[in-house]
Amino acid sequence: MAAGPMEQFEIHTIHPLEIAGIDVSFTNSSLWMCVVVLCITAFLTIAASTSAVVPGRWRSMAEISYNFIADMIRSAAGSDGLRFFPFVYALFMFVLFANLFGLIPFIHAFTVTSHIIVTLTLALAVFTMVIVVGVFKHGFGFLKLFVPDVPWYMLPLLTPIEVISFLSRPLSLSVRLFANMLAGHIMLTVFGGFVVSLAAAGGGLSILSIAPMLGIIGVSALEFLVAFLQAYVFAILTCIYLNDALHLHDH
Amino acid sequence: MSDHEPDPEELRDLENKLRKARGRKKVQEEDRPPAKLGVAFRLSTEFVAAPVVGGAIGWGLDRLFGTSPILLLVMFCLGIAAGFRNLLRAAKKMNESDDR
Repeated sequence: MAAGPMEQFEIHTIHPLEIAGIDVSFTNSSLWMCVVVLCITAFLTIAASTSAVVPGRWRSMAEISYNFIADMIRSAAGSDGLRFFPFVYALFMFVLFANLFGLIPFIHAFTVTSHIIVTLTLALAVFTMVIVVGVFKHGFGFLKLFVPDVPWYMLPLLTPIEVISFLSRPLSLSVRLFANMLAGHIMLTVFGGFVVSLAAAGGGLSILSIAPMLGIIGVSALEFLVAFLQAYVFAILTCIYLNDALHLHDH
Repeated sequence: MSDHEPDPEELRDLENKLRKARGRKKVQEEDRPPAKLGVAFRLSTEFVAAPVVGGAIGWGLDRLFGTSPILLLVMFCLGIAAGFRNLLRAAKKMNESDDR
């Protein structure tokens, strides 16, 4: 096993494709994005296909996820934020499923969210959405977001700060998700490498390989938490940003 | 589970059962994910992203106007301030949701 810890993040072209000189090949990343989307669709279709009075397991899971996001939006962005439910729900489910699928062993699962280009694209979608909603709802009044409630002579200093703070949002949003997934998967692989090389060392060292094995179990459990948590954080920050766009300063 | 017309008696039974179960759950747990790790990571990225963005803007403007490195430094410092602003805002939001 000579695989380095970074090898799992490599992009392989499955089907080469080029449109107008731009390389848009179907890669393992695209494949797993498709898998994620198909599985979410299948999950929700199965859940919605039963119409019994008492919901079955699939139905309950779908309802739990629905209520979870609906409550999140209601508490973070108010009831009129519910208009953006489809957007936030789609984001949450995509990130959650992508994170979780990356943790499936043996099938060479590719973690879509471990690439910053993917998470940055998602974050920029949120960012664009916030700006469009803000401008649509408030027109030029949206710029009040950059004018904090302070005496006028502080404004030349504080407005640039607010602007930078606003512009840093997509970066912090995407880096957080990407870094969490990347670090977790590297950690798992490195621990796995320890197990192999210790076991191969023979004698007393082979027995020691139990220790990183236990480590892997712990880290795997942690990774499941992180996978869920990062999807949650991504969704709730989307709600908070939408709230800013919808209500500006009045909370 | 069949698609037969729900029996009102049965529904009322179910309603009662659901209510009981919901009441139990509320005592058991706050339905908030264990977010301490998320909080830590959130605050750190929130803080780091702003100086990076500020620095990048400054660097870009410097290249545009040929004033290197003045704007880079100025924007970086503003970025640090924006980082603290982010940090305080996030912490305040967390306090609010804790009090609720």
